[in-house]
Amino acid sequence: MSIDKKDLEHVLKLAHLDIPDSEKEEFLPQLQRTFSFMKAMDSLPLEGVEPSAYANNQAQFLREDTPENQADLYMEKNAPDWDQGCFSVPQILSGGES
Amino acid sequence: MTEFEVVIGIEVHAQLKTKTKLFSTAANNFGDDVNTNVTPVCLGMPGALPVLNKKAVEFAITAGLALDCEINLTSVFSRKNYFYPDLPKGYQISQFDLPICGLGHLDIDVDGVTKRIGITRIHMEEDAGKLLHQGADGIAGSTHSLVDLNRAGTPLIEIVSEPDMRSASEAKAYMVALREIVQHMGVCDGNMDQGSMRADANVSIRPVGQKEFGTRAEVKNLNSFRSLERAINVEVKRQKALILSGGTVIQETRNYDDATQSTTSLRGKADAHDYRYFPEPDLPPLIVTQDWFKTIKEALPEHPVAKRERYASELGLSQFEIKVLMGDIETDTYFNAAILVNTEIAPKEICKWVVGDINALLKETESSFSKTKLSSAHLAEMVDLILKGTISGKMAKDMIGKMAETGDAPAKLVDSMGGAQISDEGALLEAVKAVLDANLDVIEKIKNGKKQAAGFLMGQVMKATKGKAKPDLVSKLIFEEVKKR
Amino acid sequence: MSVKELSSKLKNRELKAVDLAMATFSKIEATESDLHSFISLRKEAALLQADSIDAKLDKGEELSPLAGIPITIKDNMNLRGEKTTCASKMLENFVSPFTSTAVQNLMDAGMVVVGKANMDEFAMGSSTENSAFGPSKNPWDLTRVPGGSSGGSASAIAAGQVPVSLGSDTGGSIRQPAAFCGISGFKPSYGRVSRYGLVAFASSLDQIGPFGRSVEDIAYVTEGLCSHDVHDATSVPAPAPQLVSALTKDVRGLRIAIPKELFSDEIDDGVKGPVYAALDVLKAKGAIVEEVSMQALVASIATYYIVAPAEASANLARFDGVRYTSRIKDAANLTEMFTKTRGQFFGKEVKRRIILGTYALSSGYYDAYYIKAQKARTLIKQSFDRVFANFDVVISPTTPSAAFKFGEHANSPDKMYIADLCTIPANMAGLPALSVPCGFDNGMPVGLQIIGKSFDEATVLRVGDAYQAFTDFHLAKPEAYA
Ligand SMILES: [Mg+2]
Ligand SMILES: [Zn+2]
Repeated sequence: MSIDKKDLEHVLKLAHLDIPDSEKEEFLPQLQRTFSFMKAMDSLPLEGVEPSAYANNQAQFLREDTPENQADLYMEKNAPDWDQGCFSVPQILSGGES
Repeated sequence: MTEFEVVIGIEVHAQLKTKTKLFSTAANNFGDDVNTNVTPVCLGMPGALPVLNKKAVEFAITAGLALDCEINLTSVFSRKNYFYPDLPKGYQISQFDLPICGLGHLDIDVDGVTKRIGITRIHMEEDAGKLLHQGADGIAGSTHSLVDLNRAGTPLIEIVSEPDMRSASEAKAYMVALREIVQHMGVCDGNMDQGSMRADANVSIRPVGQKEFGTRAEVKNLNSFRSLERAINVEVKRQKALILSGGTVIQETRNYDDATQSTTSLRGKADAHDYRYFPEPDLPPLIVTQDWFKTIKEALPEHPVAKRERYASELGLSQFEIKVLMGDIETDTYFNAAILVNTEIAPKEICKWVVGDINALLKETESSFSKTKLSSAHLAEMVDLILKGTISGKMAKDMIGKMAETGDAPAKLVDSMGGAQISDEGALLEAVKAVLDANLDVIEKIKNGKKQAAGFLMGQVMKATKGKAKPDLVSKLIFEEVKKR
Repeated sequence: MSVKELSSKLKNRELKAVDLAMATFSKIEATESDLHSFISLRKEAALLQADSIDAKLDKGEELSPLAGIPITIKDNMNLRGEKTTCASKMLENFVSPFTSTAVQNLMDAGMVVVGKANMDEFAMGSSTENSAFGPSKNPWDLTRVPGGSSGGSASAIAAGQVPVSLGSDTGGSIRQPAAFCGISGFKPSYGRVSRYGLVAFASSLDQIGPFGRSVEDIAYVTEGLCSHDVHDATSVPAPAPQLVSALTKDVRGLRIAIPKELFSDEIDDGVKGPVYAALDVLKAKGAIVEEVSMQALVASIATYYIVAPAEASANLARFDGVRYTSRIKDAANLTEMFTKTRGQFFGKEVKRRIILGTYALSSGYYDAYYIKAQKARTLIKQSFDRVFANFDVVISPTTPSAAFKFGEHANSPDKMYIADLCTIPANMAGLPALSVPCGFDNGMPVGLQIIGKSFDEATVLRVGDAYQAFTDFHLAKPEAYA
């Protein structure tokens, strides 16, 4: 099982990446070679093993419900398009949310 | 013709009444200036990390306990990945595999019969920000949109029901009961028009007798009891028409528009989402210790069902009074504050005014129990004055309007309203004697058994005292004096 | 000069912090055009900071041993008012509104931040060739890479531009460049140093750590870095460990495991030689060395190149053109703005990894890749648990080879992934791991990796420091920058 052209197109859509065809041609064999590494996992006795999502077996730290004041967050300074105290984005419907 | 059965499951998002957001220390406040209640965490800044609000966990568990849910002392947060401008990180932190609460239930009243609705789960998650579409009323036709992230990160619990409801009115009853629960447990203000409680309904139909469920459509944007009821009826009608004309219902999300009273498809099957859920690596598992769990249980506010019972059995409130109090959390909060001011006063005496005259006045003036200048403390003082005989009920009715208008204390108003009621026997006896002396014929009538004639004498005494005489005392004195003559 | 020496000179006022900072900037200015260790410098702010330290020292205030010592931080750590570019066109103009806790801790101790170091874009890479602003060079040979992703932080130390620096390590991004540049580099236990303010690559693996010439320097900086941080839910609620005082230079009775999987055929003989020699040194000083097998480590790279890209694919979703990133001009609609902004401003390696990670998480492949990798991660952790039941540290080469030439892996990024073979396991298990120089292969430095038990930074640094007491590889400097 490895990534093919169709998978690549699907994944690019999911990841919201628009890349030129030349990059797709370049990436595909590279990605396929990377996925060939994954076979190494098949040599391990994985059956019945609990998956680990974390480095440590720790419990989550919780904070108190106390508000904190904020310094200037440079929103306007960093925003690509700032309008009326908000981040402005191009029209949403013509392309559709995907 | 085929008879159809309607099957409804409801997902409710309820915003928790915490001071800060779910994962950031920004204020959790509705209605402030755009992009003011934000921190680097709410903005999805590079390097910002979520840290869970302990209070939100307590609220989620409180709601779970009130709905008889199993509480998972270990639960896990996941990332739900999708792109949208109101979602700053490109993923929503939510609970997926292992939510904080599992199976529970809620009993609703359907035409006087109790019906049990299953709760599938309750999970915690963060709300998204808001988009302000420009150049049109909504997203359609807008030229661009503005992003306000004040709501981003607001703590939510999503309460998912089993598909146990069979009609729009059952769905509404469920929603009403659920709102009562979250309000009285103190976890959500239940304010539907501000969006602090939002419902999505999963609606399907199947021929009566069929075991399998039909294909469901998820109807979104149900922000009032009325729109919930209407949207379900509209959607059921659509599905019936579709099936009867040989079509099939497809699984999709539909938006309900209250203006046109119709539902429209939000997105087709083709671009079905792949949310790529995976455990949120920034947040290790949430472990609720037995000690903490015990503390939460001990601090649990009174369940609405228990409260109703107590109101009836201990406070002696009528079913009508209980219904009014429980139907609106502000009214109930006000009532409970007022009865604490002076515990000598029977709560029933206070309740009379809360559900009666004050409630009517607030409706009339488009005010509310949380906004009115008539404080619960002043109400308690006023009732005290009535019970002590300082003012009459009639005076109190006038006084309520003034208190709501000015916020003045009853004691202050007593003077400006012409002074206290005359309840001094000696003073009143003078007036009674004078009236009797001037109406000897009436005394005769009374002695001959026409007791109602005393009303005339009473009127005369009132006139003489400018209405300030304490009526029951006057009545007593009149009969005593008549007897003596 | 070591941190200890600088610190005592600053304390007895033989040296002024301002003069030290000035000298640091002169050294940087003289060498930077060759090396490109930095993305940005902050001379004015640094001198002001140094001046305030001098004022305090003049008054005789008792300050941290770190006070007045110059440091550079990797450009994926936020410092309020300064740009955080992550070596990406995506964040080319992003000015951070907040300071990362690790950096704040060091600044609170009086360290003077002179600038932000070059790196592979979003810390993805092993050579700094993926920096959108051009690579850093290896001071030992300017035609070779300094390693990565914290390559600028490493080259700056090796060339003597600054005494100490910070990097971040997700799969070896501190230890690998330390090995390539002939210096010491340390990744503390996961949870030891707050990640707040570090731009995330793979959240369950990322750790901030220091580079220095010696392990002693590293011990000083690590003590300053560690704290429990309420802004990072994975930060451990424990006080900073006492590390400088743990450097006893004694390895008698120390039990060292050498996993044969980390001495496999993929490791160059020119690397294995110096590592075995180093083990002989430690043995001669009383340590016990035993070979062990840790079979799960054969899947380290596979596991890493699923887990890290999967987490990264989500972590990098926030770079969408809405709030603070670059944005393409004249997008016709929202989707175009999203997809073209991301397609244009991310570099190739970043895009490849986003694709890898998105694929591994996508419906239909989640169990085959992501869950499988999580299970393999469990086995890697368990294999360390087993070894640490009987041993104090695990020792291996840091990298399979010494520094390679620029462009050597240009068309096969997957080949470069092998560079992380020995370093990944410590990230998977959250363990503290150190790289110290232990010799040369054809004139290029070779690194020795020491991995310790979770939160046992003290033992790891003690072994590294003892080794440096017995040898002098850490004192070697590239001729051009001696
Ligand atoms: Mg839902
Ligand atoms: Zn939800």
